[in-house]
Amino acid sequence: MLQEKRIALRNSGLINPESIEDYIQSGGYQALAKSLSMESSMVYEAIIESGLRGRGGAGFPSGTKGKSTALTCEDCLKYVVCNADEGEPGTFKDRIIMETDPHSLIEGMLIAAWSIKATKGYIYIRGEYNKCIERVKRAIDQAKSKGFLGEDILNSGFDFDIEVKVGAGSYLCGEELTLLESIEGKRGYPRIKPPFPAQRGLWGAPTLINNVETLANFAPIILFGADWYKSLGTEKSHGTKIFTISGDVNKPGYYEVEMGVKLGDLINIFAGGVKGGKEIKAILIGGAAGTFASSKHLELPLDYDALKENGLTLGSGAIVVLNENRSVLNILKSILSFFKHESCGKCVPCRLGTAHIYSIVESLEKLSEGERESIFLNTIKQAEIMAKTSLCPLGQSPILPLKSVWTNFSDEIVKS
Amino acid sequence: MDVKEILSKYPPQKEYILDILHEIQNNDPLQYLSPESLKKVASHFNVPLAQVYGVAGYYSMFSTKPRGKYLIRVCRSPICSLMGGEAIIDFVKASLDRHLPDKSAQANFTIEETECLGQCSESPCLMVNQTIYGNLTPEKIDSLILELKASL
Repeated sequence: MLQEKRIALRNSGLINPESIEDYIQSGGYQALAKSLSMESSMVYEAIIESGLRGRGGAGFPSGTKGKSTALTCEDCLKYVVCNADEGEPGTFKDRIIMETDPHSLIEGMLIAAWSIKATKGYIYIRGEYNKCIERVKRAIDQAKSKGFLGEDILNSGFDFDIEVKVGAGSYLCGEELTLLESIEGKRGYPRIKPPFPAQRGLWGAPTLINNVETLANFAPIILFGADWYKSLGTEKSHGTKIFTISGDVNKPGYYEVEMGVKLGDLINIFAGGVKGGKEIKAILIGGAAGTFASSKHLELPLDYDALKENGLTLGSGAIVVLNENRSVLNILKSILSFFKHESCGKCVPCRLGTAHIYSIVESLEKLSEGERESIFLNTIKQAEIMAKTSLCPLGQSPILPLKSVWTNFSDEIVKS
Repeated sequence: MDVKEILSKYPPQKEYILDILHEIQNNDPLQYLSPESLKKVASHFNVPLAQVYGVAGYYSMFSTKPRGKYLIRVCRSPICSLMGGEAIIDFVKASLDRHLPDKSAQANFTIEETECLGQCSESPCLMVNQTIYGNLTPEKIDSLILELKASL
């Protein structure tokens, strides 16, 4: 029988999220003490060894990012930033972590900070997540009063402080460099990359940026070791992933399972199958910046590589299930309208392209069946150009749903 | 709390502009950033007014237009739309018309559309000020509007 394997969500629902004593009693802050007794470089080496990849969507190896930030300069000012600007449609895993176990995030940040010798951290939480903001702020105060945050933490000589920054309703600020602009108090416009934040981040200083779920995995990896973490998941995608399932299923919600779970098992065993006993038509994996899988992908293991080989992406772990009666074209329109609305307007190809692509797909049904194929293929070409000529992932994303819809649901586009 | 008090709470660095705008807006009975408030923020940081407007205008949670006592933000994400969310705005408007036929009383309610609120397992959803309401049905919306009307 398949079961959840909770690591990032280890305390979720089991402890009072407003009590630091509860967190400590369940083994909290032991990994911090262990980290502080290690050479700081051994900490990021352990994360590298574990194979943990960023859980925000991009899947970059987390330890490598830490190492390159640490090595940018020896004794200079560095920052750790937690990206808690969860805005990818269909995704709510970071909200659950912050609401049900905020200290797991704070401990993860402390470990990340020690590994690169950062002295200041920011948690950037989206403005709509009131409860998270409240709980994380309270947890920071508690950690300060217990000596886990502040000066000379646990008599180690290490100083670190965390401040919460609140977003104000911009999807784009979930992009790492745009997020830094927002922390600096500016409009959310993306920066040119490189330099990467590991070299020049917040106020030009080397900055390590990690997602909430990524950081929540740090303490268990340090405590139980990289080998333990590597024993979970698949050969190339280690550990667990929180999937948030919504749409036409009986039990929508969040499920943390080992990497490599089959898409069909996730939907049928964990999320209770499709509502009303209907068939599955499509599964949107990874949110708006994600891809559409079809019922022929149900046997596919969910890990970074297996999905990539099939032209799909894991993204943030959002899974939206569409039953046999749903229109894939309608949800595609909704996604394209979202990108049009969220484009910041800095890059011309994205500013014009997101609006243009939306208007074409929006009026697709007005065309004759014969015209639709060439128009849709031309739209894909335009989205490809947009992806190549835009600075940030927003302009690079619409190609993902468009292309996967064409690969798996071209019939729906051509006929209706 | 007035704008001057709010400004005095924060260190003088520009990184606090967003925090300050949030707090000013939350403390304004009309839930918005007035031209006077923005002028005070600009002169406090010694930056051009356009810079403060630029920040206020970029983020969708900030409003430079006055809003009602109740800000109703309806999620328009692809997931909520799929689960019946497209009709929610119309239900809200119809419910307001039914229970508050007097248009001046309706001014206490401002309806906005918002991107994904991260409540997708309870879609469709909306937010009234700081509170989330999920698994919406026409009946639920009706009783919510009645509840809000009672505490006007």
